[in-house]
Amino acid sequence: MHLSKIKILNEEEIRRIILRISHQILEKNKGVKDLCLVGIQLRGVYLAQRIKESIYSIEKVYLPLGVLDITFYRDDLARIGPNPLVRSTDICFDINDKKVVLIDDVLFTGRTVRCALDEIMDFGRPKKIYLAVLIDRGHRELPIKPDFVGKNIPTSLKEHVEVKLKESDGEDAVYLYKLK
Amino acid sequence: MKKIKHLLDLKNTPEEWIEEVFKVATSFKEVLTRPLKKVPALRGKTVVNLFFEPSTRTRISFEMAAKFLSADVINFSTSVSSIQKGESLLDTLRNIESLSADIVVVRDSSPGTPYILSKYTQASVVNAGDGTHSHPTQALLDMFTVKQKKGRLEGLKVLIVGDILHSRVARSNIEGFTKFGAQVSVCGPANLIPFYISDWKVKVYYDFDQALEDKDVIIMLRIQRERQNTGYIPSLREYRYLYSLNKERFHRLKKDTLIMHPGPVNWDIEISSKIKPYVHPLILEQVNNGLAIRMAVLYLLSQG
Amino acid sequence: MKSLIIKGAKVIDIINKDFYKKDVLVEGGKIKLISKNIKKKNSRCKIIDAQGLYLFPGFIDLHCHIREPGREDKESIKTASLSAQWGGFTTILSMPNTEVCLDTPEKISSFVNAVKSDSTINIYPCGALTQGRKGQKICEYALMMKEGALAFSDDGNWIEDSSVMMLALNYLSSLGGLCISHCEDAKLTWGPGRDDLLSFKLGLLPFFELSESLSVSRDIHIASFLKARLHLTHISTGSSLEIIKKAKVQKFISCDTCPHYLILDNSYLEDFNTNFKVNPPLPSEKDRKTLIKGLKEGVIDCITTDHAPHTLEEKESSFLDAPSGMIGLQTLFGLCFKYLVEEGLIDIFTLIEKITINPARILKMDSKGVIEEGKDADLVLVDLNEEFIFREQDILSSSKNTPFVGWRLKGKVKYTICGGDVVYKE
Repeated sequence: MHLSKIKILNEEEIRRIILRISHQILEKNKGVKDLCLVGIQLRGVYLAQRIKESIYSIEKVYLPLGVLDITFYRDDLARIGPNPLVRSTDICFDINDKKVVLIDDVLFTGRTVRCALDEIMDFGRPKKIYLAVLIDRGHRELPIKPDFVGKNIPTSLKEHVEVKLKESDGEDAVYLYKLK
Repeated sequence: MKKIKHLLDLKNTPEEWIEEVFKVATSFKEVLTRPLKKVPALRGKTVVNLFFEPSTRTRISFEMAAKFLSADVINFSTSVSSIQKGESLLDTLRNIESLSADIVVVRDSSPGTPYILSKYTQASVVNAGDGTHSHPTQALLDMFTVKQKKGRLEGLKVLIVGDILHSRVARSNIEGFTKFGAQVSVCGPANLIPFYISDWKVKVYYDFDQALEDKDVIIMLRIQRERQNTGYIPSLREYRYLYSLNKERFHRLKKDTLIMHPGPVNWDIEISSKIKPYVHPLILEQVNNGLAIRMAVLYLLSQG
Repeated sequence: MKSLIIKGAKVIDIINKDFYKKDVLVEGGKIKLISKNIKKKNSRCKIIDAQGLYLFPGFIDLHCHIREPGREDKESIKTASLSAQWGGFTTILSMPNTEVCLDTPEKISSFVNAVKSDSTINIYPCGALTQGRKGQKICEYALMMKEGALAFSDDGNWIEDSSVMMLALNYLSSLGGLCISHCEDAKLTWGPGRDDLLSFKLGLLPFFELSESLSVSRDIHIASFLKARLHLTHISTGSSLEIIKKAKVQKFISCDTCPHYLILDNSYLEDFNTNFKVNPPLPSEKDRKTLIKGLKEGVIDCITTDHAPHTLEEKESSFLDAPSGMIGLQTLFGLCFKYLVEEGLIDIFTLIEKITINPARILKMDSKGVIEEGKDADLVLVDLNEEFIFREQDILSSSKNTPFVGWRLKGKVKYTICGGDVVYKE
């Protein structure tokens, strides 16, 4: 038995996906009005920053950007191993009546997004929340559907999807690990 | 990172755990700025506040911390306790245990009660102050406050002023600050400074004017009014003459010296009300930090 | 500037145990110059012809009772000052057991102000060690020192509660203060006699030796533990001296005794003259000799007067009812010189040391107690050859309770100079 590693997306493909998602967001929202971006720690934040720059290059407007750490909202705190690293949460703008684009790297069971939804609601009452993810690997355990997807990758539960970004990992790539 | 079951004192608490408390507390400080100051981290857990010695401020701080974490809180204090009806300490503890709490926060006027409790319960025990022995969360919030302002603890000169003899805050602060490499000294009336404290590598000053000159942090302790009647000091006015942080002394401090106080402040005894505008903000920030620290402690202990 | 030249006196040199003939120039309250043949500078300069006289530092009394405030009729600051300077004293420490006990900074301040207006010599207050001298609660030493208290004592009483003594001494020493202890366990003081056959025969119940030695022992023990300065006053027994001698390896223990314990013994009580009634009582002959030995060996640091004025009416009571104490500012030197120095028991240098430099050192008065350039001009000129009879009309104190009227004394004070001013001239 060994672990095999397949590269699903390379740097160029990721770059195009970011650009496409940015256009899709603007199309669905019909512009930048009331729009804001919230990235889920850790890599969701880097993706959100790139989307922010991308939207700027299209519309010449910088959208408000918030970062969210969902550790305190997890439903599995007692079961996880050593204390998970708590990163910062910073939503320094008013989200009431805004249209929030929640951004994460991988959508899997949907529990992380559920936490993020709960946490965002504790900051106020947004008008709408969109979900944008780089990878959707299926196997939802909750009724959560993304509005914008980079790539759909059907996986089995034995497999593992890993997103690497330059800001934290030194390269831009998405890998699929299979147990053979 | 090693998990611990109880927070009884700082001596037996690993430094890494304390560092983790500081880190997590920083996040909780942010939570306290939100319109909705609640996170569901301790949802479904029960925190029991077992306060044999009356305390409003610390109990409320722990209660709010637990509630902001979405825990259920039960308060048990002596004014309504069965101890008054003659129930022994151990019977009370066994009864509490039958309530299946997840965390018990305990304060008593006798040192050691939290230690005894930890042997009788499955819950995690937090020492909220046991007699004149230890008050670990106070020391944690004091250290956290300094760390936030100065960026570090190592090498800082910390002076604790007042009734050292009767202070659990002093003992815990000496323990905590020296653990992280700060240099601690104490200053106060000779009868309120224990004889052997210099064995703890703590410098002793009786002269406040001399002591305050080169310090980075000065922690002023409360002097209880009763002390002047029990023979240790002749009067509060002499205490004020010798040990009050008045305007003249304040202006002789090193620039950026932090002035802290565990509260409640006896204005014009420990600190002159003339310098209140300069010192009150940090003291209030300590209270806020206390809440974040206690949230961090409850959060980390509940992970067990 | 006012100045004064003392010409031709024999100036004492305690260290070398000698006298040298030199002129002394006093200016601005200080000893300006000590040299042979000092010439007069200007017309405002006074000259004292001190040929044949001996120049000593002004005497310092560590233990004196002035009855102000409260019983100024018995002795006021003014009368004490006149009495003291006649006796050659330029500095006295006044005990706090006045009717209104000196146990607060306000009372110390009042006393200091009264001294400023009424006294010609230096009079410093000794503050009480405990409130009301009750032996229960400590006083505001820091504030009292700020107002001018030089030392603290419950004199007249001893602190029976050891925890109070520990707290008092611990606090006081952390402030750099001095404790003067009157060592007497009141429960072991059954009467005004000593515990010997003589007192028994006189029907006087004893002030047990243990009363003093036990309390001395306890106080020294606490002081040693705390490394605190402690001065034990009016020591009257050999057994106390033994204990003090052992403790003196620690430089912070000191003690004093009075002329009456060195010169008199309890046989003087035979005719029940209340002027001989003192507390502690006059010693046995054996103890008296031991005290003199202690003086010579340096175990006893000072000789003090324990000047205790009482009215005639008070002293005219029965022996048991009469208050203890005798006045002594005017007689200390004359008595000690005649009955100790002239008898060859101690030399003049030892005597002077015990009443000048040693008390100055104990009270931390760096500028007093010695004749040196730059020091305070507190000086006394004495004719050591003059013998005189101490008469009642000589007494300047408001109270006359001394048994030494009619006694021959030797060594007459001719001039007393305090702060550069001649405050007394015979």
